[in-house]
Parts: sequence; C-alpha cells; structure tokens
Amino acid sequence: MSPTEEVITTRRLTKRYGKDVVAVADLDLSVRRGEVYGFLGLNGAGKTTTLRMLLGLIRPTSGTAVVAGRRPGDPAGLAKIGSLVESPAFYPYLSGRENLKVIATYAGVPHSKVDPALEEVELLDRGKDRFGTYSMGMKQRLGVAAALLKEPELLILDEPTNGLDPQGVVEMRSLIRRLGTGSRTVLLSSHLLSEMEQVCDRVGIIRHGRLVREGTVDELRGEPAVTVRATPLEAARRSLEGMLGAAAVTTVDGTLRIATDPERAADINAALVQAHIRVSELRPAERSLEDVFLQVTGEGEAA
Amino acid sequence: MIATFRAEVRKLRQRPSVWVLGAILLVLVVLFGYAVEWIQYTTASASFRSGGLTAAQLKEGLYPAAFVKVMANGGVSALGPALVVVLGALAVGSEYGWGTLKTIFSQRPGRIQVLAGQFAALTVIVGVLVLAMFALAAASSFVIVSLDGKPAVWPATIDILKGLGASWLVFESWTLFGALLAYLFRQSALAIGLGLAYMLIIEGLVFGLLGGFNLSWLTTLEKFFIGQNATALGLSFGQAVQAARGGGPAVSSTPLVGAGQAVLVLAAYGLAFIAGSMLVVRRRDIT
Repeated sequence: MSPTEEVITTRRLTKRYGKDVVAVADLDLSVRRGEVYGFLGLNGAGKTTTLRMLLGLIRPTSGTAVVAGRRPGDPAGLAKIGSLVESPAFYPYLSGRENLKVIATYAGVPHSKVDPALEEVELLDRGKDRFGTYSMGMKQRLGVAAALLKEPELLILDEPTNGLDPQGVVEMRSLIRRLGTGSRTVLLSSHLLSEMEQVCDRVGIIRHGRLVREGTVDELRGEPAVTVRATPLEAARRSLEGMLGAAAVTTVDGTLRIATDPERAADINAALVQAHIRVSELRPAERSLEDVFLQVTGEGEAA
Repeated sequence: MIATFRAEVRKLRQRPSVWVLGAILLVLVVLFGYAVEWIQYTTASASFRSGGLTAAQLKEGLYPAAFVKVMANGGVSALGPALVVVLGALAVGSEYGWGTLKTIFSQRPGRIQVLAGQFAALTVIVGVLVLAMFALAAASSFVIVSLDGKPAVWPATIDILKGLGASWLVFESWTLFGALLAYLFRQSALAIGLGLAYMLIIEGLVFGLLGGFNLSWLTTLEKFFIGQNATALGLSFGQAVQAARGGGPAVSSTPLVGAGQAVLVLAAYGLAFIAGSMLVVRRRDIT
C-alpha cells in the first residue's frame, strides 16, 4: 500500500436538513493512511455530522464518501474502523467490561481483547463497576477502549478529551499520538486548538459546514517572521525594505512584520541601529494555530 | 446474525427491567389466574352462583384439565399482552434513549442484521416467558386440585402444545407491535403509552362505538384487527372461568373468527411489524 493512500475521501459531501439548514456543504476531505488528521471547527460547524456520515449513521444529501475502501456503513468497512462519536453511549446497567463484551460480540471480536483494551485506557480495575456509575472521564475512556477493540486501521474520535481532567487530557493526547504511529490513521475532531497543535500531522478547518483551510500545522501558521517595534516607524520600514525587499515588510498595528527567518533578528537590529532608528521590540512573530483559526473562521473568539 | 443475536441475548438477560416484567407476569398468573379465584370460590356461601354455575363447578375451571384454557385466554386477562408490549417498546426504545444504537451500528454488522438479532432475541425471551407461565399455571392448578383432594387430570399433550403455540403467537405479535412503535417514535415512553392505549382501549372502544350502527363492512373489517384475532385465538380453546366472569379483554367474548384465520392474521401482523421496523431502521438517520 502506498503511504499516501487515502483512507478517507469525500467529494462534495453535503448534508441538508430541510431547505434552509446546511450542516455540511460540498466537503472535499482527504485523509491519508498513517496520519493523525485534525478536524477543527467551532461547535456546530459540521464536524460531528461529517463523522456520522463517514460511519454511515446518517445519509448525505449529496456527494460521495469512501472510508476504508468502502462506502460508509458497509460492514466490511466498519470492521476496520474504531469510533467514538460525540458522547460515549453504553448500557448503564452493565459493567464497563460487560459493555465491551457486548460490543465485541457485535463486532465479531474475541472477548480476550476486552481486558487489554480496558488496560490501555487504565480502566481495568473499574471494569467490574456499572457504566452508570462512571464519571464523564471514565465514560470517555471506555468509549476509546471500545473503539480500540477491533484493532482498527482507522480511528475516528470525536472530541475524545471531553470531560477529562487535565491529567486525563494529557494522557489522552499521549494515547492518541501513540495510536497514530505506524499505519493506523486517526481522524480527530475537536474544537480545542492546543489539542490539534500537539497531536495532529495535518489539520482541516471547517466553518459553517465548509472546509476553509487544510494543511500541516506549520503550513497553516505560515512563513516564519519577525516583529519589529521601532521609532520612527516609517524610517524603519524604508530601511528594512531596502535591506530585504518591499514584499517582506508589512505594517501591522503599529509594528513591522518582516517575513524572514528569526535567526536574522541580529542583522535587522544592527541595520536599524546603524540608521539611527530606536528599536524597542524585536521578536520572532509566532503565529499560533489559534491565530490562524480566528482569522480563517472570522470568529471573535475560539471556543 | 448469530453474533448480533448473541449480543442481544447477552444484553436482555442482564437487563433488570426484563426480569421485573417477567416476575410481574408470573406473579399475575398465580395471583389473578388462580389464587384470587380459588380463595373466592373456597370461601363462597352455598348459595353462590355465577353464570349459573356453583362455586364448586367454577373451581373446576382452576384444575389441571383447564389450565391450557386459562392460559390461552391470556391467563392474566389483558395484562400479559400489555406487559409484552412494554417489553418490546423498552428493548428498542431504550437504545434510542441511551444513544447506544450509534454504538451498535458503528460495529461490523449491518442495520438489518442488528434488527434481526434483536427480534430473534425477543422471540426467545417471549418463548421462555410463555413456557414459564404455562409451567407455573400447571403447578398452580396441581396445587389447587391437590388441596381439594381430587385427582389431577391433565390436558392432552397436543392441546398443551397448541396452547403454548397460540400464547406465544399472541405475545410475540404484541411484543413486535411495541418494538415497531419504539422504532417509529425513537423512544420507549411514547411507544409504551400509545401501545397500551391501543391495546387496552382504542381498538375495543372504536369497534364498541361503531358496533351500534350494525354496518356489515365494519364487522368484516373488525375480523382483521390484531386485538380481535388475539382474543379469538384464545377463545378457540374454550372460554375460561375468568373470562366468563367478566375479567377478560375488552372485546367480544364470542370469537369473531376461527383459530385458523386468527393464526394467519396474527402471523401477518408479526411479519408486517418486522417489515415496518426494517423499513424505518434502514432509512432513518441515527442522530
């Protein structure tokens, strides 16, 4: 199999509810084998609807999707997919272990895989307790354990850190990174930017049901740059344009943004001082995924 | 389908509500099928008459020879079928309430396979319930005849088997009815409410009210309704003592149709409920 083989491909995937509500619109998504792909968007952006369509739980209004080589919902395809969509749903009167046995029976997986899955998410000692007594974090971890039962080629995880305490979030990120090694593919949906930044190889940003940006975290952050605050600003701009070219210098909120490697900061400082320009601030311009997200989604605040 | 059947049985046999419903059904068999009647007839005065029968004659209706008749007539009046409507509605409706359908449908088997396994498991549970009810009724009737110091005369094996089959068919039809309602309304509460309202009130009320008009087409139509056919099938075993005393279902005590037609109509209803559920579960989004 080619390392760039696409495990998930959607073409113009659309889901409408009635005439007015478009949950997902013309979505073209490509997730490659072996990568951890982050699906980023505000609440209500269409992430969960997309994931449900990929699993065959809801039917698209139009467009196509191929998941693990099959159409969504095909039993042969589902056999290769582990998923946790939205909140984890299990039988409250059964223990965690018994719930996994029920799921394993549906999936045709031997029950011997239940305890290792519980151990993976550190629930082995609570496996005998009823699911109804679990905390939200434990329920979330049981959901991940259920997703792992099939030793899937593709893991689809929707907000897996929901309800986890800070320690649990760190452990979950570490688990997702571990699960994403080798040929396993992980599609991770979240509205938590830090989660995406730390875990994902590539990120797609969805807004109002449309994929508005896609790339690696570095690609999304854009070219490296340096921020300069100097007086007089206009003289500084002319000096740096002469040094690096006009295209490399832009004025942003009373500072200059210089598109260059931060390692050239000393050269920039020397040039400005030599031109009798006072430099009050000179630092690498770090553009976080949050900046990109806010710019792309046009929202006032990140969720 | 075997995997989904095993998973469904595993779930249902550990579910407290299934055991509670089963226990209520069995208690009702003993209590209202036998104990209350026996106490009433045993303590009745010498002048007691009901339907022209003495207390001693009525008590004979509780002996082993009549236990198939008692059970085939619902055993516990309309409460048995009512409880299995609840069973069917709960087994399906709770999956929507807990959100577990999305968990199941994201596993390997297809939706129809899951549904087939679910209905197969319910069929087995209903079968076990009917067997337990008959066994308990037989035991109760034996205790009563022994208390009266009379010999136990049992129905022919073929009649017992026919009674078991008829009761299972009636219970199965109502169970599937409850399950279909739960698939339609995606919840158990509305399915239980509507299912019980239809079973206990609506069908009897509609035909009771319209019956006054003496419309021939109405009589023909009535012969194809589930409640009428379920009652007719029970009555084909003979009218039980309880039904004679007015404790039976709220429908005519004279069978509208023969046992053969009742079996066919109930089987058709069962298949229609399965087909309806399949249609709903195949087409609908799981949100």
